[in-house]
Amino acid sequence: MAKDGTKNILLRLDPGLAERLQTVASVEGRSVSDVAREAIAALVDQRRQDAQFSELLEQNLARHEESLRRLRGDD
Amino acid sequence: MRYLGRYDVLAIAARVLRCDSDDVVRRSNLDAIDRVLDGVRLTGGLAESAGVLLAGLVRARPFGGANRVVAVAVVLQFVTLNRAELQLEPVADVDDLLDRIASGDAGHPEAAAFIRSRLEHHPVTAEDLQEHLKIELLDGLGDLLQDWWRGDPMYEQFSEPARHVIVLAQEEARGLDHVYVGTEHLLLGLITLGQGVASRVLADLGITAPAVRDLVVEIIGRGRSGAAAGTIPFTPRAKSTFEFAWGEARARGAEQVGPEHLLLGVLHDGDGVGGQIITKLAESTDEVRRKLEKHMNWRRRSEDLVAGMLAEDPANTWTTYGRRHHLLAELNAVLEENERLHEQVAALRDLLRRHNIDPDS
Repeated sequence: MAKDGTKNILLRLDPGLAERLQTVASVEGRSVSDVAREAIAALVDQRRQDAQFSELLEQNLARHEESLRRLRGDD
Repeated sequence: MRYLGRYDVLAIAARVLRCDSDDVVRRSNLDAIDRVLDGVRLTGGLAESAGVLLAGLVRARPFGGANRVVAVAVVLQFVTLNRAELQLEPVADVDDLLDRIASGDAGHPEAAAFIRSRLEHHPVTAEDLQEHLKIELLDGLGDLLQDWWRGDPMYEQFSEPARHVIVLAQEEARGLDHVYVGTEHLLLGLITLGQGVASRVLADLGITAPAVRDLVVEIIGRGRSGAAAGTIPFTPRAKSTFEFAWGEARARGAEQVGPEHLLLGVLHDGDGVGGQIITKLAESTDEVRRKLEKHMNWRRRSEDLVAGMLAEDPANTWTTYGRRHHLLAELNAVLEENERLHEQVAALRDLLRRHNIDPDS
């Protein structure tokens, strides 16, 4: 566990990208995990703002709401 | 096939778990998600891909405590993006499948079979196709040509599977961040359609989607990320392929343009990227054409046989109208079953090849 209570992320990165992340992390005095997590979250945000994707997802969740609710949970 | 990416999956998880993006990144095992998605990209048909996705997510548990509901939601979105719908009811059967996957008693083949039995494909309508065929001519010949293209009744003659190929081709182009749809994307659409004579011939010859994608990237490269937003125009070569396919369909007396006619169009343009890729992966475009025509002729003979029976004088040949139709329906069912078996054999041969086993050895 990292000191702020979150776990470090495990992610396969190409060497060039890993090096750039390392640079940013060093400059900003943060861990590579933190910088990577922030970048990934920004890309997830971007995906969530895709109107077509989100609309389809909302329709799907609404249509299957009852079935999803009754699905057995993980142990 | 429209595949999901890591950010798609995380976006779905964030919505289902009702948390923000940062939270979902913290809570998820990104490496596990990537490994599952890598596996999905190696698959062909929708049911198989969805099966690999579901089994992979359930087994890897990248979303911790709420894993199952997120995994099912991800599969629902994947299926819908590929113009189909998955029926979850009765949900007890889904629970049973997920239990068996989690315990290791079932894997992706069982998941794929289950999904196949619950899939409903959305038909591609003429309106959908019209939307996909909004042409932005690359060669700048102006509105006249554009209007001619749009108003052409040719597309009304495209069969449902042929329309689906075009939609899949656009998705393939988008997946590679290409800002146009060329013959190479049409070839990928024909493969990922996963059914019919054209798909079967390509699969028999070992022309698989991953192999074609690799060659597309080698020959052309990927586009700039996010460049392929909105409607993607067709290249002049792709448009020529449609016209050739239409001509072939008419010359062969077919009522509609099918995927097999589109493949004939791709083969005809040997200098196009699609044709070049076929030449690299198969012996030659002529070889592929010969095999395709052999299958088409076989199918045609079977259909002629059925049509001939239908046209015969029922008084001489058939005792009753009902019996005649019953036998014709049975004949058609046998033909369909035979095609399905051919497809299964092709899929098994492909699986063997992927494991570096020569299916003919």
